Amino acid sequence: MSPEVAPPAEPGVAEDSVRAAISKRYADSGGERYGISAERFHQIVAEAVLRYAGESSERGELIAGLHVADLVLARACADGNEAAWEAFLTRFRVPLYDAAYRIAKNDATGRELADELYAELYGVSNRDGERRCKLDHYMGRGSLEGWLRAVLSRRYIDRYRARSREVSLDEQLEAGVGFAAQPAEDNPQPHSAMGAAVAQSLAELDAEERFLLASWYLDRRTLADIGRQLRVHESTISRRLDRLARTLRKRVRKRLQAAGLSSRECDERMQELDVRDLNIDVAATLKQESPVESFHR
Amino acid sequence: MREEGIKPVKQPPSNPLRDELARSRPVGPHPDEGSLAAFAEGALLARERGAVMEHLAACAECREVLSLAADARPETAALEGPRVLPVRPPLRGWLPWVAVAAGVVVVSSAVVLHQREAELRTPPPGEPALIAQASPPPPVTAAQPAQVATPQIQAMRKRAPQPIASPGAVSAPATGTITGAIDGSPAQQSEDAVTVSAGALETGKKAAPPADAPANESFASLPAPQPVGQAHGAMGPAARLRAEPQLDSLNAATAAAKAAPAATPTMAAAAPATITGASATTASAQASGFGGSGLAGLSKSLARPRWRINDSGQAERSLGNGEWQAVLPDVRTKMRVVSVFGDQVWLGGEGLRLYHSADGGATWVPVDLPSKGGSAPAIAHVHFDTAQTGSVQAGDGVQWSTTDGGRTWK
Repeated sequence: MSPEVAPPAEPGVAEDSVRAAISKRYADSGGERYGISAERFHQIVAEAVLRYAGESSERGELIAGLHVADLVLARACADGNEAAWEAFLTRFRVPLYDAAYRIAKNDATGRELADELYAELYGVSNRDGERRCKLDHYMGRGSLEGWLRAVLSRRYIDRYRARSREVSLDEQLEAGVGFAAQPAEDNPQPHSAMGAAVAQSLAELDAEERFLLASWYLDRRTLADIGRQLRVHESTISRRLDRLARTLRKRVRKRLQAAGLSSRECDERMQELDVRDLNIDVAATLKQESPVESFHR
Repeated sequence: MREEGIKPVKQPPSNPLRDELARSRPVGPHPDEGSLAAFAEGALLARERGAVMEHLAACAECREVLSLAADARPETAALEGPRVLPVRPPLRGWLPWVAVAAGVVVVSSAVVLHQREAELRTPPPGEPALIAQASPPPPVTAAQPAQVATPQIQAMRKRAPQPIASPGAVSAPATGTITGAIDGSPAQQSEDAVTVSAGALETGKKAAPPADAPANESFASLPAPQPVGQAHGAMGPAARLRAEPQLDSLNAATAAAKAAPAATPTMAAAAPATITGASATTASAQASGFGGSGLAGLSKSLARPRWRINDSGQAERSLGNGEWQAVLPDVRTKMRVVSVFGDQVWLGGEGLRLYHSADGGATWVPVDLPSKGGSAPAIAHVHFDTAQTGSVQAGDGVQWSTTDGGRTWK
């Protein structure tokens, strides 16, 4: 069931240290309870190391951060170990279904979602008659429960997208979108300078800043949502967004002026393209605790 | 089947920031669920985190996965401390103390306000039947209350730091016509006792009676305690006071006896200086009833509403904070007399206009007196023996009486 893996790529001292680190984690894993030998454990962890650790310096940290108990349990389940399945059911059956209900926000859909995943976790046969178990894909990065939630979420989105493609015209009509005009793909004429300035300014931001902006302005998530995802307090998100909007506004304005626009023209452009409507809407609908200053003042 | 977990985001009209954010496309394949789970739990290597973040910044789908997975966490896990880092990890050292101090202030304020509100709902002690009227009745002498004082009250007065200083006059800063109308009738003397009991009964709820209360023993041997004793067992003090004010003379003695041993000069000084005569006894007993709590005693005395009619004939109320607040500000009638019995307040004025408040002056209703063909321009006296029984007298001597708290007059 588990693929044969080679030991970590780098031989010598690095390999020895990796072996030592893996051996050290074996006691934490409780592998012997489910019939996972030390050698088998080494293979399992080495697979994760090969996949995720790009540099030898990262291997120790990666091995130390692995959820080895969950990893061993998952592998033992994939191997068909009864005791492991019993432990898995005891620990994860209820959280799995609870998570599915929370994701789907609908009991029937949630149950269906969880049932489907459950079947895959238990193992389904492919065309060649080989039984494949979804738990084989778990590599110990993060908790097994978190992994299950991520799998459920991804699966739910896939279902949603598939469902969206199947929506009939009648349903679209009922939903009021059947005859909605398609938004213009690109209409840069009135604000081409503005668009370019914004694009350049966004490109200067780092990934996390763009993630914040996309989550807030595009996905319209709440500060609390974003804070949960980044593991920081929502007020921190609020301040960072506030600062980010100010920075971005300054940079865009500077670029517009560099493009030859006068100060007054800059003001007009920024006001024409004000996104305060977005902020007002967000504050009204999402009940934000502290309003974030608009992108354009 | 409807998918409810994901709702398409309804976007407002286009703007360049959103357009540019939406235009960005993710680089590379989606991170696997393990990486996303580890990202959500902060378990990724720094390099990995940067790569995943780069992808997330441009991939709405993965952001959605992350958000759904975060929402699917059990509430307890979502609220765990380590998942939400403090905004400013090194909290300034003095902030917790400020928070504690603020909490103390809030709690103290709440206690004071609560007591003040409770006081407003109960008959104000020390003012059994204060009647402000143009022609004051004969002043009360110190001997008059003494004539009806039970041994318990006498004992209380002996212990009270401020003896009855003068006839029961109220030195309210009114027009000089407000006096305490405590006459020598047994009913009025009973009201005097009601005043005492009102404060003391309150204290009885807060402070346990002294273990060695000799007055309690003497109270038990009183000749007339039986019906009151039954009522005492059947009802709470406040309810009893409202329901059967005539029984409160005995309650007063009880409460006074409980309260008096704890009286201290300090607490007596906290009582309003405007209360004299029998009211001084009330104030002392009331203050002492709080077991030496200066704040509580002060709040009780502050919470006692006081009444007056100013030079322009406007009735005013003070809740003890030194400010006089006009009542019935929209009524043009010049008031001539105010009568207070517990929460029942009566205002009489020119044109035989009579107003009644059953909640200590918070709300008022006009009361129509049946015509008796009199010629007097104003009400001169309002007098209530109990909350139900009282009389109104016009300047020419025409009189109306009620036995049902003012609902009907004859």
